[in-house]
Amino acid sequence: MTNEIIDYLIIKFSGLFDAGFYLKTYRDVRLADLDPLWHFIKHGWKEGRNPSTSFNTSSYLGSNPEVRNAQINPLIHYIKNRKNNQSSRQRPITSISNKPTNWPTRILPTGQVNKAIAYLRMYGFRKFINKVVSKLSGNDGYGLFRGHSSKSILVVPIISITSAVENKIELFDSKISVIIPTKDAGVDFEFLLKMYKTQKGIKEIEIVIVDSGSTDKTLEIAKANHAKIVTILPSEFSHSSARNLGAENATGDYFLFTVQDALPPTDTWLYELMTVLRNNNVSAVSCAEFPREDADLFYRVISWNHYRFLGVNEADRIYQLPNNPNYLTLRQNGQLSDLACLIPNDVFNKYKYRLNYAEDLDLGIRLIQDGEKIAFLGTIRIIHSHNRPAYYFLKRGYVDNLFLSDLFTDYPIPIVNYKDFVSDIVFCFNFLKDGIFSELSQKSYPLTNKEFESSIRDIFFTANNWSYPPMSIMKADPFFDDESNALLEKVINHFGYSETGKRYNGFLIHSLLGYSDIMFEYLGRTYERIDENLAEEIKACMYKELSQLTGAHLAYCYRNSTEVDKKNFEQIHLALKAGI
Amino acid sequence: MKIMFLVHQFYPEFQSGTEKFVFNNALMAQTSGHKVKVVTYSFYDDSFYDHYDDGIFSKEFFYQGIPVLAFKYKDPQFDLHLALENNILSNFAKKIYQIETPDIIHAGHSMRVHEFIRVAIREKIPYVLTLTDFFLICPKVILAPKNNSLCSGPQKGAACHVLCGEFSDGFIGKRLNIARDILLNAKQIVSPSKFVARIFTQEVNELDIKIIGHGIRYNHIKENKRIYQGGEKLIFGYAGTIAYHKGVHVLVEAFNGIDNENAELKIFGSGEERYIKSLKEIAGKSKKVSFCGTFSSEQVGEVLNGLDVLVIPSVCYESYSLILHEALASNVPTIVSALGGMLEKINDGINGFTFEPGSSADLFKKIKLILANPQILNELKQNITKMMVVPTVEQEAYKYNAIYSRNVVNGG
Repeated sequence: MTNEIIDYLIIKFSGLFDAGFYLKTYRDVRLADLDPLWHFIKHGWKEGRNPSTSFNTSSYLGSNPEVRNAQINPLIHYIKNRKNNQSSRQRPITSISNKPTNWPTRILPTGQVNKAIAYLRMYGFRKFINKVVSKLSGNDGYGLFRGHSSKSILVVPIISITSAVENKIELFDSKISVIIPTKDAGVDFEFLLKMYKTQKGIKEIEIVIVDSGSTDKTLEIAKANHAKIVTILPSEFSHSSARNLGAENATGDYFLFTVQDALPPTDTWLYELMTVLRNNNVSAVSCAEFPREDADLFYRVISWNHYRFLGVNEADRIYQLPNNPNYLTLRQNGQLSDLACLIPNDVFNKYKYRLNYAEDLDLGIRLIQDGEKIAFLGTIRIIHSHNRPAYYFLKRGYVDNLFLSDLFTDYPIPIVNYKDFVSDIVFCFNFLKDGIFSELSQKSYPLTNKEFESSIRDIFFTANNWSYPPMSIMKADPFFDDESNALLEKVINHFGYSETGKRYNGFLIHSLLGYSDIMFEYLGRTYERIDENLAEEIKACMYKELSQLTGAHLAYCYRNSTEVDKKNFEQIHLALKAGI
Repeated sequence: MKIMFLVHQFYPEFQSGTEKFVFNNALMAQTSGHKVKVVTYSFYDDSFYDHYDDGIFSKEFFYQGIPVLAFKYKDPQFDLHLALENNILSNFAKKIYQIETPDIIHAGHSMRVHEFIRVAIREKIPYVLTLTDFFLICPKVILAPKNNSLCSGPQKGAACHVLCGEFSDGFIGKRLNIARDILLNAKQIVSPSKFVARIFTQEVNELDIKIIGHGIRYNHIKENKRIYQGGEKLIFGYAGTIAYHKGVHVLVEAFNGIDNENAELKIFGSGEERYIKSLKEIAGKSKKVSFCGTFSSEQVGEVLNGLDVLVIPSVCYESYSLILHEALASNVPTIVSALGGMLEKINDGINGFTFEPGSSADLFKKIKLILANPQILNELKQNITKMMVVPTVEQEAYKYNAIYSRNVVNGG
């Protein structure tokens, strides 16, 4: 036990364990309400589970047979030996910087070290140990010694929704304002408005659109359907300001905030949301997405994984402020969605939307921080999905991680710098094409999931034997889009690339394997065999995974960079943020 | 969850409405994260199949990403299109369930796959049944004892005794008992129209039938935006299976009487060769009538967009008519025979026209009315836009998904 506690401390302070990733990836751990790091130390690494997207357990053990034979936790081995690993071809797989500092100051953030020293001086060694143990045992997110008595971060797992609403509808004597920001809402807009006009069980429905410069028939259709039209200049548009403006012009007792491309699935959908709001003493209710017929594999994987993270894939949840608020539990418990958010007029006007990004999450967090409860539904959904290019996900990965690190002071930023990372970009996009896609093209289909997965894994495990390619990075391929290529080439040219011919020693490819593990899990749930068409979808999916990871790591680089670097990177930084 | 879809025939061999309904729902179930497999009877040459087991050939393949298990009897079964029981198939179904272990079955039709449902009852595998036609209570499928006649249901076999004497009372009685068993053991019975639900509840009063309209793949739909001024050429059309009970002859006869240079009739689809030949004979040398061949699901938008009016002249009950709903979704006005589920959607003179079933004279009048005043189509199109909400495939799949979840997760 003592050794395991020491391992726990070492890994915890190393910053190399991503509790969020671990819980998102391993459903059994999440459902068992276990401390994820404790699970990793006791069982996870032996089962080949990864501690983060940046460290691949199996790959490390495969490259270091002596570690495997000695039954040493590979992450502990890596942390203790990483100075040596800097120059080794077996260097795995992590987002730690190359800065030559000495353990333990390297793995203990300065702030933590100073705090610990001050505590030691003030209270003595025994109390310091007690404090550490106490901190690890429960009031610190995921406690080390949590047992059955610990409180779940999610409360009231099932909401009782009035059953058989289709057969028995008792009219809600209320007016609901449906508030929809619009811009060129397209040919389906008429159908959307008809779906709201035919909702049953609500005394009155008012539709308010907040238009920011449509040039198609959006305004004409809105007018013909008696919607209230509010306009906002494109230059003044923000996700918050448009919705707040809609609310100012709405007269309903309740507001439903939604979007122009999300479709109610039934004519009792709004009634069902109202039933949940009224019967469960919650301040707002949102619901998950049900995909459109053309939703691509990547979108389906990330949606499924996100709802798994929220615990709503097959359930409804009521959330409140978690016992241990941190970036992870607040994201889980504070989630509302712009796709569908039903909220009483008076509650909304007390809070309103803020920010121009993730304003729905921000609203949810503020509500639970004030002691309110909110609901997120997985059994009632709204029809919505996108089929977006890799370019979007490159930028989305960037913006998401900048935003989260702004919103949550404890959001972990891996130590990674531009100079190292651009080489990884060049390598990984080439490896994806010349390694993985090439291998998949030679396969004879259909394959079982296992055959397919193991063939991809085998290629991944050869990555450390590959060399960095010449600079001609994004080779022509149907999956590689020009906009992504152009932007990434700017990034690479900005920092320079001179690794051609050297043995690969980056970490991004291992992050991609970690991301692909989520895809494999989804594939295993949905498909029994992989045919040629699905294999093509998987290629597109992996390309988008890599694009999103690239964006995320560029955000980490940005966060870790100096003010001078930031200034020099400003143009590319703005391009990465644009349009999200 | 794993959902097994059952259907009497499937793509790419057959391409009518039920196949489309099953494909759409299998595709959407897969898109929303479920494992799916379509099990279907088939009519390929023996050499097509790669498995043989106890009197049955079978083969698995993918159709547009959907895994399909197609099978057929080695020896012809005289009652293939009538029966609701077969021991050879029963054994095969048991083996397939052992291999596939579905969580729930969704039967889009029971012809030729009935034993899969009966074995599911015995094995306690939950199943959902969609009534896409009347096969379960009518061995002739369409409640049409003879050409140009219709009945309103078997009435416990009494109507069959009088109207369909070729079937013995014993056969009908046993068949209706099996049908009743299949209907009453379903976790959920679904009908695309109130009309079909009413016919079935007349026969089996205890049934609780849920109405879920078939959804449209709007990605394949092109809105008809034409505005009519008068004097322009109008293209009338038929699109679907070309068979007697679909009444295409009524349409061609009606069109024969049209003496207007601005009128044209296009017939899309495939069917019985003899019947098509007879239609061509009726059309004679008229250049106004053309036979345009088959079209795929993806081409439906293109076909409908090329028409000004779609005619559905069925002389049997239409349970729903997917093509009618695809036309409404495309904002193409329709003339339909005043029968079955179509009457739930078309109000004569408001959002389309109806005519007396089988009456080419009445249909002729409606066509003449439109040709005399094409602007009337503008009004019909406006009303379609205002009044009609044709569900999407996502909306249809969402409702079925709720049924699957309720019956699998909560154990029914």
